[in-house]
Amino acid sequence: MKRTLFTSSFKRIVSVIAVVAITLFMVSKISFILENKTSYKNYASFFSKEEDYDVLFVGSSHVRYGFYPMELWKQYGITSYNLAGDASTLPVDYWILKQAFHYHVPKVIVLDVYDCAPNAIVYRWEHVHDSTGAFPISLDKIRMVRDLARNPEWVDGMGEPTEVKWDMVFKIAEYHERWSKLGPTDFDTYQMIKEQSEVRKGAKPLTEIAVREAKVYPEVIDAKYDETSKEYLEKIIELCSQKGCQVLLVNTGYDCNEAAKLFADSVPEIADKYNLEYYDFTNMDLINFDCDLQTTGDNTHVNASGGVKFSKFIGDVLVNNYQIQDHREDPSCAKWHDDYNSYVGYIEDTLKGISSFDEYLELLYGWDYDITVDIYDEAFLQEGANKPILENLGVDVSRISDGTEIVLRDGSEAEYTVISESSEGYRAKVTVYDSKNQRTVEEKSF
Amino acid sequence: MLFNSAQFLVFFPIVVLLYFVCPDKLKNYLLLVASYYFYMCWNAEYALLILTTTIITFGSGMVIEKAKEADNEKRSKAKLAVAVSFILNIGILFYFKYTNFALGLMGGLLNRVGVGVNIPVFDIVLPVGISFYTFQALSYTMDVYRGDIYAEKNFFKYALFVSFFPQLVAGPIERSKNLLKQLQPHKFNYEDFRDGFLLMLWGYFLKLVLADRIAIFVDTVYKDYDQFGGMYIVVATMLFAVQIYCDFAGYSVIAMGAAQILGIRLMENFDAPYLSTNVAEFWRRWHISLTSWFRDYLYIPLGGSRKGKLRKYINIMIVFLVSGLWHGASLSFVLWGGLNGLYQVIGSLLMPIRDKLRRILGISKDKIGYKVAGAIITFALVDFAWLFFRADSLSDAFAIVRQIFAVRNPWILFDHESLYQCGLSDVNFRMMLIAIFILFVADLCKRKGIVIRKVILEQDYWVRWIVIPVIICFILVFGIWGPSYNEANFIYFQF
Repeated sequence: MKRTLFTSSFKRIVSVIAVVAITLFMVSKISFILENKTSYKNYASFFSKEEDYDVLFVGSSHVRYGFYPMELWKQYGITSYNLAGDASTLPVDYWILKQAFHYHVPKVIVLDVYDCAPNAIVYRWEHVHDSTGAFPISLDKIRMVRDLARNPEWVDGMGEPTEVKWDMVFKIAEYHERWSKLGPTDFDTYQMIKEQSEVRKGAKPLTEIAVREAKVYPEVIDAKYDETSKEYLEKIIELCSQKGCQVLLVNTGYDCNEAAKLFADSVPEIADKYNLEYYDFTNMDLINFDCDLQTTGDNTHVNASGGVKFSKFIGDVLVNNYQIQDHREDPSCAKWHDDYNSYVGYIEDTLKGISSFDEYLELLYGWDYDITVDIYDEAFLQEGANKPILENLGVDVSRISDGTEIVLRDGSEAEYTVISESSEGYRAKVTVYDSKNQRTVEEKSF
Repeated sequence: MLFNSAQFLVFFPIVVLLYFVCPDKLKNYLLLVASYYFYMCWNAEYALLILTTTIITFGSGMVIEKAKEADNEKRSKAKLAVAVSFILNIGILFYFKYTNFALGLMGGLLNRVGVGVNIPVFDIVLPVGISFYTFQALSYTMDVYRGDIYAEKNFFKYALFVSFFPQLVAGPIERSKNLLKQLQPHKFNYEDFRDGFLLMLWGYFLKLVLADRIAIFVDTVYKDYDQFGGMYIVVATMLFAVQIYCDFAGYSVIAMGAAQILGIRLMENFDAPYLSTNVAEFWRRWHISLTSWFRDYLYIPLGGSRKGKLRKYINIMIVFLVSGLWHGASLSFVLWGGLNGLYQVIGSLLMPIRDKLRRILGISKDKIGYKVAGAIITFALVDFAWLFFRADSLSDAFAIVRQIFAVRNPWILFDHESLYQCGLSDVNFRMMLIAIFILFVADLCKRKGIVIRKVILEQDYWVRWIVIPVIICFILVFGIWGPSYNEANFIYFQF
């Protein structure tokens, strides 16, 4: 009798455990399919323990679009990952770092101090999803949800009134409605997405060009100082100090509002207090305002050519001031060469999708291709950012007339010749040649 | 706290766990505390109202019990206790639910006779579920008075009867005969747990997949009824019939499931009502706990059908007008109740003619054709009444009826486009139709005496292991819930 009772109870316990286990398995699989993969596409490869990073970039979209790990690898042999995310506030950055340190502790953290949502803890929750969605569930992630979901003050309509955002952890709550919008890529496996994220390592070069005058920054008259950002900036510095990381502060926010300007102005004092280096890119004559910016709505970020300039600048700083070693000959970093080749493939694929002359050349800035530009119609230079983009590449546009061919080789002066062929109806033609591998990347007419 | 809130999904497992691990003598106290906490999550102060109702009806029960055993003089004390219990409880209900309605009516009447009075509107928050627990508590007073049960001596047990959280705010309105005796310590029962869990899943399906999805369409059309005429309103009203069924039955089923997990069986509140072949039958199968309450404590005391046909019809009308008022302090609810009463009176009056016609035409009552036609006609009648229930006011209801006939647009049913402009995308609309079909099949099975839960549980273990997770995933994926969606109240909370 006792034996029967035991067997029956045992079966029931097994049944309950099996149902719970199958349910959890199915929910996790379905949840992943339904989830917006933005965060995974950017950060999935960061969680691989196989690699080690010298530098982590943390901050807002300005950093995400402005510093390219693969550019740093190519130029300096620095291993880095860009963990910045759109509209990521300093409180969000703090929690990103807190979780990131579970996986990698780099030598230097390049931290964006641009105050994208003054006096708010969170700008929009969807951005927090995009920034942290790929981070595996952990106690720190739960603490992050609880901390960020404190009611922020509302300033200029920024921030959202919040409640406990358990959908940050139990993501099917946020994404289950996507069942009717699923596309082929939603069924990619984690491994496939991880491999995609290895290519850009979090950063994203933008191709659009904004033709605009240099930004005139607002005069601070009546803004409220963002104590929250200051609090979290200091928390980040202390956290990094505990982990033995150096912190390098940067400000790259070209679309500064009054309150963000007030905060940026206070950063030198904080940097001095902690004896940190601080580079305010918005005060430096580093980019060409005619062609190195991109505009989406009111936001201004650097585009690919601006990003290459930023990356080169920060690379010099990291090598000279932080003694970051060159790993290009390091056998343990061999995979970075493969990743770089994939990155070249990504850039070339992006090139093939561009139909505008200025954006095409903008993306080619900083690459060691041989570029041949045929201009059939001089008036074409007056359109869009065509003229400044050529100047950006080192072309003397005064030497261009109808039927001029310009050849740009890495490290050499531009060569100008007269074109003998007919235009075949095009106004310009660009030929991109990879001399190292002796192949034509693409020939495109405009 | 709503059944479809994350809070409840944490609260309920904790209560279940504590209930089965705590000593027997503490079990009822635990449920009582949990029930008050459940209610106080909505409004802590209003828990005092439940306590007041509990004290009044508990006291009246004690007085009645003592008086029943005494001489005639003291028996009048029992009547007095019943009267006091009813007056006080109905008084509280009236104050919170009907004050502004009554003042508005009075003001309207005075204005009509030329007395211009500025009637104030009081800012009174309607306590959630007040109509439900008040009726449940009053039924206890009556049951003790009638001698159907003995008065409960244990105040805490009685307080739990009034406030038992699964059915506290939206029923089923339990009878003391059924619920009080079950408020004993229960041991964990695996079968009850399994069955109750499946019931809850079915309830969540009804609420999240069906009711809240349909609500998007219905709300869109009813909110801008002047933009949507003709068939839009017809479709929205038909869907509202399904919405309110799924919303209310969903709550009742979750309540039944939650109670069953705790070892307590609540009464069935719905029995496939839209398969009814006449309105009287519909009301025997819709909101059974309320309908039977009115039958036992209003219709029968009024004389029921014992005092001639005219009195019977008057009694039916009284019951349904009061039922309308019970649902809401608005003339549109009264008209809704009146229409349902009228359907039954007319149905009863026409019964001989219908029977004669059927005999002449040789139509059998038992054939499927007759049943289908009856169900369709009954649905149409009940659904027309739902229009008054759903409209925000009586004037809106009449305007909506006019809009049905003012616009002629039957093509919207067939153009594969128009109906998808009412809040639900094409795929969501199709999902809704699939879910309605599932509901229809489930109701048909119920009528045939097939209990789908039992069918699932009789399968081999591996089928059960897969079916239950699939149901859970189905609800999680296709349900309307999450942060982008405001947890929708159950419609019947407002009553």
